[in-house]
Amino acid sequence: MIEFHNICYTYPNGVKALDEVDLYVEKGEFVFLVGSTGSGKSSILKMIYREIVPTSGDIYVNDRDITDMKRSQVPEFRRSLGVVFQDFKLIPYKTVYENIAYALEVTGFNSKQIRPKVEKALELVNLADKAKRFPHELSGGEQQRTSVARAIVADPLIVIADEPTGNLDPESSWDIMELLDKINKKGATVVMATHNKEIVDLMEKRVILVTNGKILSDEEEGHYSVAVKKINSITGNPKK
Amino acid sequence: MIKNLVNFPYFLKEVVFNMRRNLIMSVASVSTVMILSLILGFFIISVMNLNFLSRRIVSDIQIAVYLEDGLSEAEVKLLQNRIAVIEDVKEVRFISKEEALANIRAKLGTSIEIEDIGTNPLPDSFEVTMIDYNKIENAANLIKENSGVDEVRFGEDITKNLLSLSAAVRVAGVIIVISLIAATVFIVSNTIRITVYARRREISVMQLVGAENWFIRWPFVIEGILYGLIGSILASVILAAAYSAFLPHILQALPFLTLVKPSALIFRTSFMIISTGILVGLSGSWISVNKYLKNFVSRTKYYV
Repeated sequence: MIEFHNICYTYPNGVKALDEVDLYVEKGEFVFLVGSTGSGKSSILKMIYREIVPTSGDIYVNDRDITDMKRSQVPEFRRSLGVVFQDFKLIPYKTVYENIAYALEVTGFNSKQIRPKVEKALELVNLADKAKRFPHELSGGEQQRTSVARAIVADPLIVIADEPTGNLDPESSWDIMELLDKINKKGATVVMATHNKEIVDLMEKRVILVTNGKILSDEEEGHYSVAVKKINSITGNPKK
Repeated sequence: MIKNLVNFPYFLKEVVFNMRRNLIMSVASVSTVMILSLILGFFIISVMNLNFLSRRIVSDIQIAVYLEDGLSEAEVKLLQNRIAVIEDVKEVRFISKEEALANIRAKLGTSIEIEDIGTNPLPDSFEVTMIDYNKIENAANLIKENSGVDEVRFGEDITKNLLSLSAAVRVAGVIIVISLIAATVFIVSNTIRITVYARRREISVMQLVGAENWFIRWPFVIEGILYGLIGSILASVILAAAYSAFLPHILQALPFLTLVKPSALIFRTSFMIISTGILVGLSGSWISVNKYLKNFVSRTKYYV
Protein backbone atom coordinates (compact mmCIF):
# COMPACT_ATOMS: atom_id res chain seq x y z
CA MET A 1 0.00 0.00 0.00
CA ILE A 2 2.81 2.43 0.97
CA GLU A 3 6.41 1.70 0.01
CA PHE A 4 9.48 3.85 0.61
CA HIS A 5 12.58 2.63 -1.22
CA ASN A 6 15.84 4.12 -0.01
CA ILE A 7 14.39 7.59 0.52
CA CYS A 8 16.70 10.55 1.15
CA TYR A 9 15.59 14.11 1.60
CA THR A 10 17.96 17.04 1.91
CA TYR A 11 16.93 20.65 2.43
CA PRO A 12 18.32 23.28 0.07
CA ASN A 13 20.65 24.37 2.92
CA GLY A 14 22.23 20.90 2.93
CA VAL A 15 20.65 19.55 6.14
CA LYS A 16 19.50 15.94 5.79
CA ALA A 17 15.88 15.35 6.89
CA LEU A 18 15.64 11.70 5.84
CA ASP A 19 18.49 9.29 5.26
CA GLU A 20 18.01 6.03 3.34
CA VAL A 21 14.56 5.31 4.69
CA ASP A 22 12.88 2.02 3.72
CA LEU A 23 9.31 1.62 4.83
CA TYR A 24 6.49 -0.77 3.94
CA VAL A 25 2.93 -0.38 5.14
CA GLU A 26 0.38 -3.05 4.20
CA LYS A 27 -3.25 -2.42 3.34
CA GLY A 28 -5.40 -2.05 6.46
CA GLU A 29 -2.48 -1.47 8.86
CA PHE A 30 -2.44 1.09 11.67
CA VAL A 31 1.04 2.56 12.05
CA PHE A 32 2.40 5.04 14.57
CA LEU A 33 5.40 7.15 13.59
CA VAL A 34 7.11 8.33 16.76
CA GLY A 35 10.17 10.44 17.36
CA SER A 36 11.20 13.84 18.64
CA THR A 37 10.48 17.12 16.84
CA GLY A 38 12.60 17.41 13.69
CA SER A 39 13.24 13.67 13.61
CA GLY A 40 11.77 13.41 10.12
CA LYS A 41 8.39 11.80 10.83
CA SER A 42 6.44 14.74 9.41
CA SER A 43 8.63 14.62 6.30
CA ILE A 44 7.60 10.99 5.84
CA LEU A 45 3.92 11.92 6.09
CA LYS A 46 4.36 14.87 3.72
CA MET A 47 5.96 12.56 1.22
CA ILE A 48 3.02 10.16 1.41
CA TYR A 49 0.55 12.91 0.44
CA ARG A 50 3.14 14.37 -1.93
CA GLU A 51 3.58 17.73 -0.32
CA ILE A 52 7.32 17.19 -0.70
CA VAL A 53 9.29 15.04 -3.10
CA PRO A 54 12.35 13.03 -2.00
CA THR A 55 15.82 14.02 -3.16
CA SER A 56 16.44 10.39 -4.10
CA GLY A 57 14.59 7.08 -3.89
CA ASP A 58 11.13 5.94 -4.94
CA ILE A 59 7.78 6.06 -3.18
CA TYR A 60 4.80 3.92 -4.17
CA VAL A 61 1.37 4.65 -2.79
CA ASN A 62 -1.54 2.45 -3.90
CA ASP A 63 0.89 0.82 -6.37
CA ARG A 64 1.57 4.18 -7.96
CA ASP A 65 5.02 5.72 -8.25
CA ILE A 66 4.39 9.18 -6.80
CA THR A 67 7.96 10.47 -7.04
CA ASP A 68 7.75 10.93 -10.81
CA MET A 69 4.17 12.12 -10.71
CA LYS A 70 3.35 15.26 -12.72
CA ARG A 71 2.10 18.23 -10.74
CA SER A 72 -1.22 18.05 -12.59
CA GLN A 73 -1.77 14.48 -11.33
CA VAL A 74 -1.32 15.41 -7.65
CA PRO A 75 -4.92 16.64 -6.97
CA GLU A 76 -6.45 13.43 -8.27
CA PHE A 77 -3.95 11.39 -6.23
CA ARG A 78 -4.71 13.33 -3.05
CA ARG A 79 -8.37 12.48 -3.32
CA SER A 80 -7.46 8.87 -2.57
CA LEU A 81 -6.07 10.04 0.80
CA GLY A 82 -7.49 11.71 3.85
CA VAL A 83 -5.27 13.99 5.92
CA VAL A 84 -5.78 15.16 9.52
CA PHE A 85 -3.61 17.89 11.07
CA GLN A 86 -2.73 19.03 14.54
CA ASP A 87 -4.20 22.50 13.81
CA PHE A 88 -7.37 21.04 12.20
CA LYS A 89 -7.11 23.29 9.11
CA LEU A 90 -10.83 24.05 9.05
CA ILE A 91 -12.18 27.01 7.14
CA PRO A 92 -13.43 29.38 9.84
CA TYR A 93 -16.37 30.89 7.98
CA LYS A 94 -17.80 27.57 6.84
CA THR A 95 -20.06 25.48 9.06
CA VAL A 96 -19.14 21.95 10.13
CA TYR A 97 -21.32 20.59 7.32
CA GLU A 98 -19.79 22.94 4.74
CA ASN A 99 -16.25 22.15 5.84
CA ILE A 100 -16.88 18.44 5.31
CA ALA A 101 -18.82 18.97 2.07
CA TYR A 102 -15.95 21.09 0.77
CA ALA A 103 -13.75 18.04 0.28
CA LEU A 104 -16.39 16.64 -2.06
CA GLU A 105 -17.24 19.92 -3.79
CA VAL A 106 -13.68 20.33 -5.02
CA THR A 107 -13.87 16.91 -6.63
CA GLY A 108 -16.94 17.94 -8.62
CA PHE A 109 -19.73 16.15 -6.72
CA ASN A 110 -23.10 17.94 -6.81
CA SER A 111 -25.03 18.80 -3.66
CA LYS A 112 -27.43 15.83 -4.06
CA GLN A 113 -24.52 13.40 -4.08
CA ILE A 114 -22.77 15.26 -1.28
CA ARG A 115 -25.57 15.29 1.32
CA PRO A 116 -25.80 11.55 2.15
CA LYS A 117 -22.00 11.20 2.26
CA VAL A 118 -21.58 14.17 4.63
CA GLU A 119 -24.44 12.97 6.85
CA LYS A 120 -22.82 9.54 7.09
CA ALA A 121 -19.47 11.11 8.05
CA LEU A 122 -21.15 13.39 10.61
CA GLU A 123 -22.81 10.39 12.20
CA LEU A 124 -19.53 8.51 12.34
CA VAL A 125 -17.79 11.34 14.19
CA ASN A 126 -20.91 11.96 16.31
CA LEU A 127 -21.42 15.57 15.24
CA ALA A 128 -24.77 15.32 13.45
CA ASP A 129 -26.33 17.74 15.96
CA LYS A 130 -23.60 20.33 15.39
CA ALA A 131 -23.64 20.37 11.59
CA LYS A 132 -24.67 24.01 11.43
CA ARG A 133 -22.10 25.27 13.94
CA PHE A 134 -19.00 27.22 12.93
CA PRO A 135 -15.54 25.96 13.99
CA HIS A 136 -15.14 28.71 16.61
CA GLU A 137 -18.32 27.49 18.29
CA LEU A 138 -16.82 24.03 18.82
CA SER A 139 -14.37 22.58 21.33
CA GLY A 140 -10.91 21.48 20.14
CA GLY A 141 -12.02 17.86 20.14
CA GLU A 142 -15.10 18.63 18.10
CA GLN A 143 -13.03 20.63 15.61
CA GLN A 144 -10.67 17.70 15.21
CA ARG A 145 -13.60 15.33 14.75
CA THR A 146 -14.84 17.65 11.98
CA SER A 147 -11.41 17.47 10.41
CA VAL A 148 -11.47 13.65 10.65
CA ALA A 149 -14.93 13.62 9.05
CA ARG A 150 -13.58 15.75 6.20
CA ALA A 151 -10.66 13.36 5.79
CA ILE A 152 -12.84 10.27 5.51
CA VAL A 153 -15.93 11.63 3.72
CA ALA A 154 -14.65 10.55 0.31
CA ASP A 155 -13.86 7.02 1.59
CA PRO A 156 -10.09 7.23 1.19
CA LEU A 157 -7.90 4.13 1.18
CA ILE A 158 -5.30 5.81 3.39
CA VAL A 159 -5.73 8.25 6.29
CA ILE A 160 -2.69 10.27 7.34
CA ALA A 161 -2.76 12.00 10.69
CA ASP A 162 -0.02 14.43 11.68
CA GLU A 163 -0.14 14.80 15.49
CA PRO A 164 -3.95 14.84 15.52
CA THR A 165 -4.08 14.85 19.32
CA GLY A 166 -1.33 17.45 19.78
CA ASN A 167 -3.76 20.26 20.69
CA LEU A 168 -6.32 18.18 22.58
CA ASP A 169 -7.03 17.21 26.20
CA PRO A 170 -6.71 13.48 27.06
CA GLU A 171 -10.43 12.78 26.77
CA SER A 172 -10.75 14.38 23.34
CA SER A 173 -7.54 12.66 22.29
CA TRP A 174 -9.11 9.30 23.07
CA ASP A 175 -12.22 10.21 21.09
CA ILE A 176 -10.02 10.87 18.09
CA MET A 177 -8.06 7.66 18.59
CA GLU A 178 -11.27 5.65 18.83
CA LEU A 179 -12.43 7.27 15.62
CA LEU A 180 -9.20 6.50 13.79
CA ASP A 181 -9.36 2.94 15.10
CA LYS A 182 -12.94 2.62 13.84
CA ILE A 183 -11.90 3.96 10.42
CA ASN A 184 -9.00 1.51 10.37
CA LYS A 185 -11.29 -1.40 11.24
CA LYS A 186 -13.52 -0.39 8.32
CA GLY A 187 -10.56 -1.03 6.03
CA ALA A 188 -8.59 2.21 5.73
CA THR A 189 -4.83 2.19 6.28
CA VAL A 190 -3.90 4.71 8.99
CA VAL A 191 -0.48 6.30 9.40
CA MET A 192 -0.20 8.65 12.35
CA ALA A 193 2.68 10.72 13.68
CA THR A 194 2.53 11.45 17.39
CA HIS A 195 4.40 12.36 20.57
CA ASN A 196 1.71 10.93 22.79
CA LYS A 197 3.37 8.00 24.63
CA GLU A 198 0.24 6.96 26.47
CA ILE A 199 -1.83 6.62 23.33
CA VAL A 200 0.87 4.67 21.51
CA ASP A 201 1.37 2.30 24.41
CA LEU A 202 -2.33 1.67 24.97
CA MET A 203 -3.27 1.21 21.33
CA GLU A 204 -0.69 -1.55 20.84
CA LYS A 205 -0.26 -0.99 17.11
CA ARG A 206 2.81 -1.05 14.90
CA VAL A 207 5.29 1.57 16.11
CA ILE A 208 8.07 3.02 13.95
CA LEU A 209 10.66 5.15 15.71
CA VAL A 210 12.27 7.84 13.58
CA THR A 211 15.39 9.60 14.83
CA ASN A 212 17.65 11.95 12.89
CA GLY A 213 15.99 11.00 9.62
CA LYS A 214 16.49 7.25 10.10
CA ILE A 215 14.15 4.48 11.13
CA LEU A 216 15.68 3.05 14.31
CA SER A 217 13.01 0.59 15.33
CA ASP A 218 9.89 -0.93 13.80
CA GLU A 219 7.73 -3.18 16.02
CA GLU A 220 4.36 -4.83 15.66
CA GLU A 221 2.17 -4.08 18.71
CA GLY A 222 4.97 -1.86 19.91
CA HIS A 223 5.26 0.56 22.79
CA TYR A 224 6.68 4.06 22.67
CA SER A 225 8.71 3.74 25.86
CA VAL A 226 10.02 0.29 24.96
CA ALA A 227 11.14 1.53 21.56
CA VAL A 228 12.88 4.55 23.06
CA LYS A 229 14.53 2.48 25.81
CA LYS A 230 15.74 -0.03 23.28
CA ILE A 231 17.33 2.68 21.19
CA ASN A 232 18.87 4.34 24.22
CA SER A 233 20.49 1.06 25.18
CA ILE A 234 21.96 0.77 21.69
CA THR A 235 23.12 4.36 21.45
CA GLY A 236 24.13 4.67 25.12
CA ASN A 237 21.79 7.62 25.63
CA PRO A 238 21.05 7.82 29.43
CA LYS A 239 17.63 9.53 28.92
CA LYS A 240 14.55 7.42 29.67
CA MET B 1 -13.53 23.87 -20.00
CA ILE B 2 -16.68 21.73 -19.75
CA LYS B 3 -15.73 20.88 -16.18
CA ASN B 4 -15.46 24.62 -15.49
CA LEU B 5 -18.94 25.25 -16.88
CA VAL B 6 -20.47 22.40 -14.86
CA ASN B 7 -19.10 23.98 -11.70
CA PHE B 8 -20.14 27.50 -12.68
CA PRO B 9 -23.13 27.72 -10.27
CA TYR B 10 -20.84 26.60 -7.43
CA PHE B 11 -18.21 29.19 -8.43
CA LEU B 12 -20.80 31.94 -8.60
CA LYS B 13 -22.16 31.02 -5.17
CA GLU B 14 -18.60 31.11 -3.76
CA VAL B 15 -17.87 34.44 -5.48
CA VAL B 16 -21.00 36.16 -4.18
CA PHE B 17 -20.35 34.77 -0.70
CA ASN B 18 -16.71 35.88 -0.72
CA MET B 19 -17.53 39.33 -2.06
CA ARG B 20 -20.04 39.83 0.73
CA ARG B 21 -17.73 38.42 3.37
CA ASN B 22 -14.80 40.59 2.28
CA LEU B 23 -17.01 43.59 1.67
CA ILE B 24 -14.33 46.18 2.42
CA MET B 25 -11.85 44.56 0.04
CA SER B 26 -14.57 44.19 -2.58
CA VAL B 27 -15.43 47.88 -2.30
CA ALA B 28 -11.71 48.75 -2.45
CA SER B 29 -11.22 46.67 -5.60
CA VAL B 30 -14.30 48.09 -7.33
CA SER B 31 -13.27 51.64 -6.36
CA THR B 32 -9.74 51.09 -7.68
CA VAL B 33 -11.06 49.89 -11.03
CA MET B 34 -13.59 52.73 -11.08
CA ILE B 35 -11.05 55.49 -10.39
CA LEU B 36 -8.55 54.14 -12.90
CA SER B 37 -11.35 53.66 -15.46
CA LEU B 38 -12.40 57.27 -14.89
CA ILE B 39 -8.85 58.47 -15.63
CA LEU B 40 -8.67 56.13 -18.62
CA GLY B 41 -12.06 57.31 -19.86
CA PHE B 42 -11.06 60.94 -19.42
CA PHE B 43 -8.02 60.35 -21.61
CA ILE B 44 -9.99 58.41 -24.20
CA ILE B 45 -12.54 61.24 -24.42
CA SER B 46 -9.77 63.87 -24.65
CA VAL B 47 -7.91 61.96 -27.36
CA MET B 48 -11.11 61.38 -29.32
CA ASN B 49 -11.96 65.09 -29.14
CA LEU B 50 -8.45 66.19 -30.09
CA ASN B 51 -8.49 63.80 -33.02
CA PHE B 52 -11.91 65.04 -34.05
CA LEU B 53 -10.74 68.64 -33.82
CA SER B 54 -7.54 68.12 -35.78
CA ARG B 55 -9.42 66.14 -38.44
CA ARG B 56 -12.01 68.92 -38.66
CA ILE B 57 -9.33 71.58 -39.15
CA VAL B 58 -7.37 69.50 -41.61
CA SER B 59 -10.49 68.73 -43.66
CA ASP B 60 -11.01 72.47 -44.11
CA ILE B 61 -7.69 72.68 -45.89
CA GLN B 62 -7.92 72.89 -49.67
CA ILE B 63 -5.49 73.32 -52.51
CA ALA B 64 -6.12 76.54 -54.37
CA VAL B 65 -5.05 76.22 -58.02
CA TYR B 66 -4.85 79.58 -59.80
CA LEU B 67 -5.06 79.40 -63.58
CA GLU B 68 -3.32 81.47 -66.21
CA ASP B 69 -5.41 84.03 -67.98
CA GLY B 70 -6.91 83.32 -71.32
CA LEU B 71 -7.51 79.57 -71.12
CA SER B 72 -10.37 78.30 -73.23
CA GLU B 73 -13.30 76.49 -71.65
CA ALA B 74 -12.07 73.23 -73.19
CA GLU B 75 -8.58 73.73 -71.74
CA VAL B 76 -10.05 74.43 -68.29
CA LYS B 77 -12.21 71.29 -68.51
CA LEU B 78 -9.21 69.22 -69.58
CA LEU B 79 -7.13 70.56 -66.69
CA GLN B 80 -9.95 69.88 -64.23
CA ASN B 81 -10.13 66.26 -65.42
CA ARG B 82 -6.36 65.83 -65.12
CA ILE B 83 -6.35 67.08 -61.54
CA ALA B 84 -9.37 64.95 -60.65
CA VAL B 85 -7.53 61.73 -61.55
CA ILE B 86 -4.54 62.51 -59.29
CA GLU B 87 -4.32 59.99 -56.40
CA ASP B 88 -6.36 60.86 -53.28
CA VAL B 89 -8.00 63.92 -54.83
CA LYS B 90 -11.63 63.99 -53.73
CA GLU B 91 -13.14 66.88 -55.62
CA VAL B 92 -12.07 69.61 -58.04
CA ARG B 93 -14.38 72.61 -58.10
CA PHE B 94 -14.01 75.34 -60.70
CA ILE B 95 -14.32 78.91 -59.47
CA SER B 96 -14.55 81.51 -62.17
CA LYS B 97 -13.01 84.94 -61.66
CA GLU B 98 -16.56 86.33 -61.39
CA GLU B 99 -17.47 83.87 -58.67
CA ALA B 100 -14.22 84.68 -56.85
CA LEU B 101 -15.04 88.36 -56.94
CA ALA B 102 -18.53 87.67 -55.67
CA ASN B 103 -17.02 85.66 -52.84
CA ILE B 104 -14.74 88.54 -51.90
CA ARG B 105 -17.63 90.95 -52.03
CA ALA B 106 -19.62 88.70 -49.74
CA LYS B 107 -16.70 88.29 -47.34
CA LEU B 108 -15.87 91.98 -47.16
CA GLY B 109 -19.49 92.98 -47.05
CA THR B 110 -18.85 95.97 -49.34
CA SER B 111 -19.90 96.60 -52.85
CA ILE B 112 -16.77 96.75 -54.95
CA GLU B 113 -17.62 97.54 -58.51
CA ILE B 114 -15.46 96.49 -61.47
CA GLU B 115 -15.60 100.04 -62.58
CA ASP B 116 -13.80 101.11 -59.40
CA ILE B 117 -10.78 98.92 -60.06
CA GLY B 118 -10.83 98.82 -63.82
CA THR B 119 -10.83 95.11 -64.57
CA ASN B 120 -11.41 92.02 -62.38
CA PRO B 121 -7.90 91.21 -61.14
CA LEU B 122 -8.81 87.74 -59.86
CA PRO B 123 -7.87 84.65 -61.83
CA ASP B 124 -9.99 81.59 -62.55
CA SER B 125 -9.18 78.85 -60.07
CA PHE B 126 -9.90 75.33 -58.80
CA GLU B 127 -10.62 74.36 -55.20
CA VAL B 128 -9.18 70.89 -54.68
CA THR B 129 -10.26 68.80 -51.66
CA MET B 130 -8.39 65.66 -50.65
CA ILE B 131 -9.32 62.18 -49.44
CA ASP B 132 -6.05 61.77 -47.56
CA TYR B 133 -4.54 65.02 -46.37
CA ASN B 134 -1.17 63.42 -45.80
CA LYS B 135 -0.82 63.30 -49.61
CA ILE B 136 -1.61 66.99 -50.09
CA GLU B 137 1.96 68.09 -50.83
CA ASN B 138 2.44 65.39 -53.44
CA ALA B 139 -0.85 66.29 -55.13
CA ALA B 140 0.06 70.00 -55.13
CA ASN B 141 3.38 69.26 -56.84
CA LEU B 142 1.67 67.16 -59.52
CA ILE B 143 -0.89 69.91 -60.15
CA LYS B 144 1.91 72.47 -60.51
CA GLU B 145 3.43 70.52 -63.39
CA ASN B 146 0.39 71.06 -65.64
CA SER B 147 0.52 73.81 -68.23
CA GLY B 148 -2.09 76.48 -67.71
CA VAL B 149 -1.51 76.41 -63.91
CA ASP B 150 -0.15 79.70 -62.69
CA GLU B 151 0.16 79.08 -58.96
CA VAL B 152 -0.73 76.41 -56.36
CA ARG B 153 -1.31 77.20 -52.69
CA PHE B 154 -2.28 74.95 -49.82
CA GLY B 155 -0.88 76.59 -46.71
CA GLU B 156 2.11 74.24 -46.56
CA ASP B 157 3.35 75.16 -43.10
CA ILE B 158 -0.03 75.09 -41.38
CA THR B 159 -0.97 71.80 -43.04
CA LYS B 160 2.30 70.14 -42.09
CA ASN B 161 2.04 71.34 -38.50
CA LEU B 162 -1.54 70.26 -38.19
CA LEU B 163 -0.87 66.86 -39.67
CA SER B 164 2.09 66.23 -37.41
CA LEU B 165 0.10 67.49 -34.39
CA SER B 166 -2.74 65.17 -35.25
CA ALA B 167 -0.34 62.22 -35.57
CA ALA B 168 1.39 63.17 -32.30
CA VAL B 169 -1.96 63.34 -30.48
CA ARG B 170 -2.83 59.88 -31.76
CA VAL B 171 0.54 58.36 -30.76
CA ALA B 172 0.57 60.08 -27.35
CA GLY B 173 -3.01 58.96 -26.80
CA VAL B 174 -2.18 55.34 -27.55
CA ILE B 175 0.90 55.46 -25.28
CA ILE B 176 -1.04 57.06 -22.41
CA VAL B 177 -3.94 54.64 -22.75
CA ILE B 178 -1.62 51.58 -22.86
CA SER B 179 0.35 52.84 -19.83
CA LEU B 180 -2.88 53.45 -17.93
CA ILE B 181 -4.13 49.96 -18.74
CA ALA B 182 -0.80 48.48 -17.59
CA ALA B 183 -0.95 50.53 -14.36
CA THR B 184 -4.55 49.42 -13.80
CA VAL B 185 -3.65 45.74 -14.27
CA PHE B 186 -0.77 46.19 -11.80
CA ILE B 187 -2.85 47.96 -9.15
CA VAL B 188 -5.86 45.68 -9.54
CA SER B 189 -3.71 42.54 -9.41
CA ASN B 190 -2.15 43.82 -6.20
CA THR B 191 -5.52 44.63 -4.69
CA ILE B 192 -6.81 41.18 -5.61
CA ARG B 193 -3.61 39.63 -4.30
CA ILE B 194 -4.53 40.99 -0.87
CA THR B 195 -7.86 39.17 -1.04
CA VAL B 196 -6.06 36.03 -2.25
CA TYR B 197 -3.56 36.35 0.59
CA ALA B 198 -6.41 36.71 3.08
CA ARG B 199 -7.67 33.37 1.82
CA ARG B 200 -4.34 31.52 1.65
CA ARG B 201 -5.44 29.07 4.34
CA GLU B 202 -8.48 28.21 2.31
CA ILE B 203 -6.31 27.67 -0.78
CA SER B 204 -3.98 25.36 1.14
CA VAL B 205 -6.95 23.35 2.41
CA MET B 206 -8.32 23.15 -1.13
CA GLN B 207 -5.00 21.82 -2.38
CA LEU B 208 -4.83 19.29 0.43
CA VAL B 209 -8.27 17.87 -0.25
CA GLY B 210 -7.32 17.46 -3.90
CA ALA B 211 -8.73 20.52 -5.65
CA GLU B 212 -7.18 21.13 -9.03
CA ASN B 213 -5.62 24.49 -9.73
CA TRP B 214 -8.35 25.55 -12.16
CA PHE B 215 -10.96 24.84 -9.48
CA ILE B 216 -9.11 27.09 -7.04
CA ARG B 217 -8.44 29.73 -9.67
CA TRP B 218 -11.89 30.16 -11.22
CA PRO B 219 -13.76 31.75 -8.29
CA PHE B 220 -10.95 34.33 -7.96
CA VAL B 221 -10.96 35.02 -11.69
CA ILE B 222 -14.76 35.41 -11.79
CA GLU B 223 -14.46 37.72 -8.77
CA GLY B 224 -11.82 39.78 -10.62
CA ILE B 225 -14.00 39.99 -13.73
CA LEU B 226 -16.93 41.17 -11.60
CA TYR B 227 -14.79 43.85 -9.90
CA GLY B 228 -13.65 45.01 -13.36
CA LEU B 229 -17.18 44.97 -14.73
CA ILE B 230 -18.82 46.80 -11.83
CA GLY B 231 -15.99 49.38 -11.51
CA SER B 232 -15.93 50.14 -15.22
CA ILE B 233 -19.72 50.34 -15.57
CA LEU B 234 -19.81 52.84 -12.70
CA ALA B 235 -17.01 54.84 -14.35
CA SER B 236 -18.84 54.79 -17.71
CA VAL B 237 -22.04 56.07 -16.14
CA ILE B 238 -20.18 58.87 -14.32
CA LEU B 239 -18.25 59.84 -17.48
CA ALA B 240 -21.37 59.81 -19.66
CA ALA B 241 -23.27 61.96 -17.17
CA ALA B 242 -20.35 64.37 -16.70
CA TYR B 243 -19.67 64.74 -20.43
CA SER B 244 -23.35 65.34 -21.26
CA ALA B 245 -23.62 67.85 -18.43
CA PHE B 246 -20.42 69.80 -19.10
CA LEU B 247 -20.37 69.85 -22.90
CA PRO B 248 -22.97 72.64 -23.33
CA HIS B 249 -21.07 74.80 -20.81
CA ILE B 250 -17.73 74.25 -22.59
CA LEU B 251 -19.27 75.04 -25.98
CA GLN B 252 -20.90 78.14 -24.54
CA ALA B 253 -17.61 79.36 -23.08
CA LEU B 254 -15.56 78.46 -26.18
CA PRO B 255 -17.96 78.88 -29.12
CA PHE B 256 -15.25 78.42 -31.78
CA LEU B 257 -14.68 74.82 -30.60
CA THR B 258 -16.45 71.89 -32.16
CA LEU B 259 -16.45 68.78 -29.96
CA VAL B 260 -17.76 65.27 -30.40
CA LYS B 261 -21.46 64.91 -29.56
CA PRO B 262 -22.15 62.81 -26.42
CA SER B 263 -24.31 60.36 -28.38
CA ALA B 264 -21.42 59.62 -30.75
CA LEU B 265 -18.85 59.29 -27.99
CA ILE B 266 -20.49 57.67 -24.97
CA PHE B 267 -21.19 54.28 -26.55
CA ARG B 268 -17.68 53.90 -27.93
CA THR B 269 -15.97 55.13 -24.77
CA SER B 270 -18.14 52.94 -22.52
CA PHE B 271 -17.45 49.93 -24.70
CA MET B 272 -13.70 50.57 -24.48
CA ILE B 273 -13.74 51.21 -20.72
CA ILE B 274 -15.93 48.23 -19.87
CA SER B 275 -14.02 45.79 -22.06
CA THR B 276 -10.77 47.13 -20.57
CA GLY B 277 -12.27 46.77 -17.07
CA ILE B 278 -13.20 43.14 -17.68
CA LEU B 279 -9.79 42.42 -19.20
CA VAL B 280 -8.02 44.14 -16.30
CA GLY B 281 -10.08 42.26 -13.68
CA LEU B 282 -9.47 38.97 -15.43
CA SER B 283 -5.74 39.40 -15.95
CA GLY B 284 -5.24 41.01 -12.53
CA SER B 285 -6.85 38.15 -10.66
CA TRP B 286 -5.28 35.52 -12.92
CA ILE B 287 -1.79 36.92 -12.30
CA SER B 288 -2.21 37.23 -8.53
CA VAL B 289 -3.85 33.86 -7.90
CA ASN B 290 -1.34 32.11 -10.17
CA LYS B 291 1.55 33.67 -8.29
CA TYR B 292 0.02 32.50 -5.06
CA LEU B 293 -0.63 28.98 -6.33
CA LYS B 294 3.01 28.72 -7.41
CA ASN B 295 4.25 30.28 -4.18
CA PHE B 296 2.24 27.85 -2.15
CA VAL B 297 3.73 24.82 -3.86
CA SER B 298 7.31 25.98 -3.58
CA ARG B 299 6.93 27.47 -0.09
CA THR B 300 5.61 24.30 1.43
CA LYS B 301 8.06 22.18 -0.49
CA TYR B 302 10.76 22.44 2.14
CA TYR B 303 8.78 22.19 5.38
CA VAL B 304 9.79 19.34 7.71
